[in-house]
Amino acid sequence: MNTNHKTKPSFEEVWNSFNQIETAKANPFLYTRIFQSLKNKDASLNYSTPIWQKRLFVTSLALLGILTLLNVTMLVQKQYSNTNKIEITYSPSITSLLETTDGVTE
Amino acid sequence: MTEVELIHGLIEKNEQSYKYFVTTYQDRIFNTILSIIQHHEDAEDLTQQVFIQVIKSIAQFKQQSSILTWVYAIACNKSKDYLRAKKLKQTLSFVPIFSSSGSIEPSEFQHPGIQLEQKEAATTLFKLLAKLPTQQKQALVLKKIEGLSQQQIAEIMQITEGAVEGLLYRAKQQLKKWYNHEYKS
Repeated sequence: MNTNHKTKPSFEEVWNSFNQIETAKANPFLYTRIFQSLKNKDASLNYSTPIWQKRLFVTSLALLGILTLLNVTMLVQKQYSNTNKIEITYSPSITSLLETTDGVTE
Repeated sequence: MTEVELIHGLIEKNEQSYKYFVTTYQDRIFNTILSIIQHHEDAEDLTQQVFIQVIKSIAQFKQQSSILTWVYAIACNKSKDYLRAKKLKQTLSFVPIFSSSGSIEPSEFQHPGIQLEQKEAATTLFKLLAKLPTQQKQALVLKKIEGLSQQQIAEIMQITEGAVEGLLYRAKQQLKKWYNHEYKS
């Protein structure tokens, strides 16, 4: 006769084991992880750069960008208008011919 | 520190309030999430996400319930989203892109709070618990593991106390049925 055979516990016994489960401990470094994460993500927290400074920086950057863009546009426009000016230069022979023709006409 | 002072400190972004808040509630929230999702590393990550979400949205807390109830509610929602995503991943596991070759699933979940003499019974219980629908699972964990009242559970899950009672009753009946079918036969 096998006396080592262990019978399965009844459902009520299993159910009651619920009440004896102790609270699992969270990672002791959880707070450090959370604080670090907040520090990296949230710029508005006290320990980080104040939000108004960040906004000022972004606004200045945007203004600088717009000004640079305007400046570049103006430069391009100026360059374009210069290249559009047609300067007709004649070779010396044609110039003399023109002068002669002028003389004939006259 | 009273709850009002704590909430005020969190709104003011006070570092001491953050520390007090996290260290006071971290074990309970971690324990709840761990019991629901049954994965240690992911439970740690979700607990972290819960606290970050609470801290970031503390200004929106209407104070109609206690802050702990609110934190539990966020923890339950995070757990629900996690289980939904996991189920979807399992459903789509035949598609190579969704099959997780890198992560190794633990063969059998062992809750760290289980006492040695209860190990077999409690492990069986968690195995069956994992098969329950999410709502029943959440109600059962909050009631039996966290020891909350039905009123608190109703507030957390935003359902009536009667509905909580129904969920708990059905969960127990289902567990009993599965246990008798799988382990007693």
